[in-house]
Amino acid sequence: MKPVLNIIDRVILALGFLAACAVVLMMLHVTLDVVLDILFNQPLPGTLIIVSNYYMPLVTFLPLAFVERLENHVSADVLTQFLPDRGQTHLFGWTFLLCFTVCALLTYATWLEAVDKFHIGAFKMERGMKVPTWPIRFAAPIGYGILTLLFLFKFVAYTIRSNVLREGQNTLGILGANDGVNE
Amino acid sequence: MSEVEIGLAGIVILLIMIGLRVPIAIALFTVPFVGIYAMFGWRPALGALKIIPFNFAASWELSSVPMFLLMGYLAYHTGITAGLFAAARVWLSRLPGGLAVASIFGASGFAAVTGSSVATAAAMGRIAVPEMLRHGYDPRLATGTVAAAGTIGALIPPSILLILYGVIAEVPINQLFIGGAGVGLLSALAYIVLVLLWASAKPGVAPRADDKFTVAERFRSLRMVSPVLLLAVLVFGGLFAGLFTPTEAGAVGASLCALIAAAQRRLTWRSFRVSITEAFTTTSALLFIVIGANLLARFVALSGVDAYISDLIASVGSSTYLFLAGVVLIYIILGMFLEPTGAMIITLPIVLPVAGSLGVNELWFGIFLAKLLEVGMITPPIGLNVFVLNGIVGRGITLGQIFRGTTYFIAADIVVLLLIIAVPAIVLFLPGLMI
Repeated sequence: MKPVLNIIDRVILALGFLAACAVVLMMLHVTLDVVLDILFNQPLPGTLIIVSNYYMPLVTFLPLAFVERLENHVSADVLTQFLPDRGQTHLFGWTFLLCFTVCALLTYATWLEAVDKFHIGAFKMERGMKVPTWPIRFAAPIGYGILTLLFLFKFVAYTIRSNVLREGQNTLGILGANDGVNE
Repeated sequence: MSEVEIGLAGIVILLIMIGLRVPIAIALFTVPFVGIYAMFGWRPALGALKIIPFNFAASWELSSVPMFLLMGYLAYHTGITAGLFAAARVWLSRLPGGLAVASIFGASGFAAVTGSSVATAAAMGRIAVPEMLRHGYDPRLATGTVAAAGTIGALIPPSILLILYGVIAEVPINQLFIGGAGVGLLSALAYIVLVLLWASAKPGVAPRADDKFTVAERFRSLRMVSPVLLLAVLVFGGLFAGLFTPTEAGAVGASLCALIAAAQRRLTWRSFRVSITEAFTTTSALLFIVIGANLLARFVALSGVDAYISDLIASVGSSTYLFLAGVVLIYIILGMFLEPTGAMIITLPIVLPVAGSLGVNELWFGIFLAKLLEVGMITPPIGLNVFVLNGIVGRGITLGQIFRGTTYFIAADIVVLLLIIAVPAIVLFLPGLMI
């Protein structure tokens, strides 16, 4: 199990790195756009489209599994904390199967949509500039896809009673994942 | 089953799933998908999953979320706001409960660079609480003040809660921000009055500090915080003057934060990395739910549950006050097991159409809701600010003590909420000037 998790973690980390780049680029790009607009009355063309159709989907979808690996997806544990440990283990174990199913469906649906847009060659226009928007469509199935794999892994780990998820430090600390305000 | 019955059953199942600790986003995808499938079949159900996620994420309005998050986390992790409490203290330490009043000022200042209640409470908790305890303040007063003052972080702009409300309810974010600023400042004022009364009535809880500061020291303290204050003025001045969009304000704010931190030699590789990671993980986690809520909104509208609930309320007597009482009750219950952002996002698809049909002003309602939800940050059982503060302060202060401290501030919050209801102009006056 451990080697499989290591591979998943490496993919998660790579996607997290891309999302981090998207955040930094978004900040720099928009700031530059504002500065050029104020100083020279000459904003960067296509900023609006690139921010909304490139950076935003990358930041939204790519880190989904990263967040799940940190167990930071929002859920309410007020009621379930009163269950005995064994009850919690089984409940959460089967929840992973539900999560896997839903995410697999989302991956499938967003994949179909991305392929459609690829075939059309979808693009947007801003001030006469043509910006293709289809490539980033694939961020959604990629992000949901890795999340699907992670949930599948978690469900399998539960069914064979593997402790691999609880052992050791995960590798995501490289991005400073365990030092936040909410930790 | 009729469509309304499917809709109602869906909402009940959604709540059960959330209670069983299914990740909220997953529950929000499951119920509408199955519901739409039951009403209209496979194609429309799959169609909704195909279109909604990307189209909703690829949004210029929502792009202000990662930018303001980044700005707030940079300010927090680099500590460029550390001087706010020190500066307020130099000016206010002679007042009864002066250090507590200074921590409310500090929190209000910090709130202008962050949109997070928890971050504000944590930032002030780290600096102000140890200082108050060292001066012999009652732990309930010291921690209660900071936990409550933290909630100002989500009211004074930037506010992630208000951005999400604005996107979902289609209310301009700059108007929500300026309305939030009014209520945030009113809350700060209410807390200050409370501390002054508390410390005057029981001088033992807040021994008067005998620090004396020279005029030179006072002005030096202002110089220390002036970059941060200038940053806030620039960013929000630009936003309210119509010079910036919210995304631009957030991006420029984040860049300036990084520049100020670099100039003050506070920007480390580590603080930069952590801030960025927190910005993208928080954005991704939030949008996962927001996209699910969008799907839920579609399901609610298709099933006609929103109209059904509106009619139900109208049949009891179509009173706005009745509706607001219902809203308060719902959020008190939900607030016991969901944190504010989650509670707001999952309920808006149902609550908003009902509010609309009763003619409740959407801008006013957003601010009212934000204030109401923030009370949940300091109430048991899951008042997040209290838990975070407990983790930070540690050493012999119990959760119970902090919760007892916040009780007084909850009373102040109730007064503020009643004022907002009685005098809607508190919220609507400033935004009205912008149009």
